[in-house]
Amino acid sequence: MKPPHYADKLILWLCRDSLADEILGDLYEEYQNNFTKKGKVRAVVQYWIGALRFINTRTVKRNNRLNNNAMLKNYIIIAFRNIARQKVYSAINIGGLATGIACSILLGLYILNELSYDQFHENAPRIVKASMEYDMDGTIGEVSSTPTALLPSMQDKFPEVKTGVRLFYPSMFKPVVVSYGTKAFQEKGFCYADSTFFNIFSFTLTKGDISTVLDQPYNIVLTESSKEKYFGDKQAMDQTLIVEGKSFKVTGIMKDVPSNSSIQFDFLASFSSFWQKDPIWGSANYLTYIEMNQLVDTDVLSSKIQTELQKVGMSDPDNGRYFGIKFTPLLDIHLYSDVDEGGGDIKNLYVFGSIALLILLIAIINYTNLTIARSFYRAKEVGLRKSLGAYNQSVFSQIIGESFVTVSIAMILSLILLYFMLPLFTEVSGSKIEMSILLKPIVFWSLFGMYFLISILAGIYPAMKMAGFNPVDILKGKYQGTGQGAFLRKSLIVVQFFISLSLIIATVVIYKQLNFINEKNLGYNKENVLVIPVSKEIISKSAEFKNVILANDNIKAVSIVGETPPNIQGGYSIDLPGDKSIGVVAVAIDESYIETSQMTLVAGRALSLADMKRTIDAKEYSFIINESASRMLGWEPDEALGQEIKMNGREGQVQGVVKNFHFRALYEEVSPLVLFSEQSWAYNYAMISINGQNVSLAIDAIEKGWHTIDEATPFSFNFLDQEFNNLHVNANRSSKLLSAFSVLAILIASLGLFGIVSFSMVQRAKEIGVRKVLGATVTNVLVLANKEFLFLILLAFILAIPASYWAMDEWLSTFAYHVNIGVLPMVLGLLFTLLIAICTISFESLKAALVNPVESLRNE
Amino acid sequence: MSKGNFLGELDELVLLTTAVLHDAGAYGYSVVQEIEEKTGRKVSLSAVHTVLYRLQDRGLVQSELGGASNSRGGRRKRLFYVSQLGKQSIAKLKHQRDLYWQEIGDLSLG
Repeated sequence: MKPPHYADKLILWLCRDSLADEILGDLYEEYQNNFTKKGKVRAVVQYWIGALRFINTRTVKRNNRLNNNAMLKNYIIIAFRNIARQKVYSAINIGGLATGIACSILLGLYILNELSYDQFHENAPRIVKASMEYDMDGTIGEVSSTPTALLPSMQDKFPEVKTGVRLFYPSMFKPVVVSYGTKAFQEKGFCYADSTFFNIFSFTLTKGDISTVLDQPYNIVLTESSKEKYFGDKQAMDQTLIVEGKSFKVTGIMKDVPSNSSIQFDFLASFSSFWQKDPIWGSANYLTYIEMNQLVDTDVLSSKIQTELQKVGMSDPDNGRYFGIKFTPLLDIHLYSDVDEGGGDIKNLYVFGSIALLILLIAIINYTNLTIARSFYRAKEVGLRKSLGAYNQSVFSQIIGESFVTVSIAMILSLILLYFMLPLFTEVSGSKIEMSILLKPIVFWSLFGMYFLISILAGIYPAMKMAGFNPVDILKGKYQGTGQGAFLRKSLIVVQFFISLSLIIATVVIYKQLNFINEKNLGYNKENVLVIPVSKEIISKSAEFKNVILANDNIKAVSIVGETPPNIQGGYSIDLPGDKSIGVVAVAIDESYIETSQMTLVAGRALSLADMKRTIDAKEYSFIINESASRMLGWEPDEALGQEIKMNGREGQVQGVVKNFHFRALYEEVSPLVLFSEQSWAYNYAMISINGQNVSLAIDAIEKGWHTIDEATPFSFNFLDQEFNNLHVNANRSSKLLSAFSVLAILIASLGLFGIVSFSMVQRAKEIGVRKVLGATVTNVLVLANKEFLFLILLAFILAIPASYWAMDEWLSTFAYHVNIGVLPMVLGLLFTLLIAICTISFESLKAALVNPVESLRNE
Repeated sequence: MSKGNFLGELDELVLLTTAVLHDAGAYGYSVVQEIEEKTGRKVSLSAVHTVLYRLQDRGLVQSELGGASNSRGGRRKRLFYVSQLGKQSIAKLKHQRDLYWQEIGDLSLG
């Protein structure tokens, strides 16, 4: 029958002691009454409600130190007056803080967005994605695609598997042609999925039934944007879409896939539409996601499936044939998985997080530095307050309070800045963030916490210092301010410039590497080459297609290929004597490949039309290998010619050896590569080298030529150099972000420097006056001022060299091909910083140097 | 009654209840119960406390600390009495209302 203890405590803590008895007594009586009439639960609830209602202005304890509260109004007025009186310094303080805060909010939001990937799936913690491991001549390769048999056999054997889904993106080979009526497009985001898809993932279906949308062959679900694209405002449900010549019935419409999903698609067709056979282990182009009944240890799962694989003979590690399945939790895919392309990287988050903190630190240091410097001017005010009875503590809270006021203004300003920065940021970073995210509780409270933290960090040192002022000394005029906290002030400047310099050096290094990537001779020509996904129709009449478009002067060469040079993925194996085999990368090419991509042959010849014909007619293959394959097979380039090769059942002779070219991103070494002739099914793209002067004419000609052969299929194209750049998109993004933030960092730091220099000049006005009277020139004074501060920047530079060298060396090592850091970035960084610093210092000190000494010495 | 001396509706109710409970002892919870019994209206304890203190500030009621009892968990209660000024003000209120009633007359005939 006792009322809630904590409610009593709350009342006793907050309400005046004289009232506590009657309040608690009444509440107790009410409680007893409620208890007998309404039961315990409602009595307790009412007790709490009643107790909370008693906490109001009438009942709460009054602060005994009334004067403190009375002075509050005065503090706020003084704070605003100070801000208004010293406009330049307030602008530096507030502007610097606002920029710093805006940057860190921005980076914080970016990090939050990266962390939110796939979190929206209700079952996310229990979903794992399978990837495949295989033995490639001693090294273990890993790919994210898996065989179709994996899911059924796991469901069969493992009770902990609840359900699963297989996905297949036909566009991993080439885009799919989708048409409705006269509208036809090449679609990259086409995906096949098992009927369990919507049970496992929390994508929102707006039309259609979750359990049946994908349960029949030739069912298709559209996202709202793809529905819009094909049907506009018209009804789409139960309509028929033609996909690569087959009819699909629209059975559902879903909300667009959120940008923070690692699974992206625009069309979702039933898996049974293209796979009706029994599941097999032999072909692995499918993504497998598995929902478990409970949280599982993925390593245990891997070793269990390994036992199964060995039982069915798929894996035989003892005889050098290892094949395994690994599992990655869905929530780790975006940030931790190396296998999936285009994902984020947890390292990036650490980097951006630290940049955010560093920029904020620079801004906070500005505030602290300027406030200490200015404390000299406030000394009399503090002295007066103290002599009139202010405690140390009340001076302390006044100064801290001013920091709260300043930070509030900066905070508001930073939100306005943020509003303008977000669209730019979205463009650069590729992650979509909207202003409304600020209203999310976690973001809102973090901002609140940030506000408190910044205010306290920025204000605490000046507040402690000013609270410690001795009123007698101040009012006697003894306190001069010079030398006070000079060491700290200088070390803080060193820290600021250390941070900015490091960021600038890092930016220059990244630019150097990107420039290297762009300028690097890749071993093939990527300029002015179009890449066109080709239809079956075009491939079957490729000779005719080539003739038609080559008739135009602006078209230089045409080649039909399986995959394009910037990113050749196809894994094959070459049989070696003695039952062994060795993994290579290989791609189907045609007779004009070497010419179109302007590669260099070190031995032998390019494929000929006759080679191609023999492959089609007699299945006799012809090969070109690269230098690295030749070396692996133990042949000098000349010896390789005429050698017999057997690659995944294809037999034929090596016709040529091509100079190594970069067929993947520069993160990777050039590995052994085989180019081979094949029958028409192996070809997906046309590479067309065109005249760079008349790009649009050339494209028109190709499109016209295309439609004389294939009227139905839409024509789309891409540029080879764009495809190449897309491979390095992360490095490009980092460089843009980093350069933006390093500019901001140096800007904020020089704002601070500006403020400090101008104070130093004001303090030294008399000294400068005396010097001038004694014959110093303006130049002498400028040198004097610069010497004091440039020394600090040099110190910062010495510290920044090892730090940035170490960090950038680490980054560069992710590229197999990279530049040396060299001295240039260091020198550039130093020169740039020095230039800005000298401008800043000279601008302020020039003013001081030009003052007539009569002015500054008049009062002596 | 000059402006600024008006009693709010709840204030009036509480003042009248305090008068009613003169012998039984008027304190927070007894006022709440009495009001609920007479009017069916549920008033929160804190509201009644606020009103009682307001009436005391205006001199309409006086209070003293009463004894503790077991039913209150050993807490003492503050007992309120209508002051002389309070009595006058109640009388005045009644008089004002009566003036209206005389003019309205018998409602059922109207």
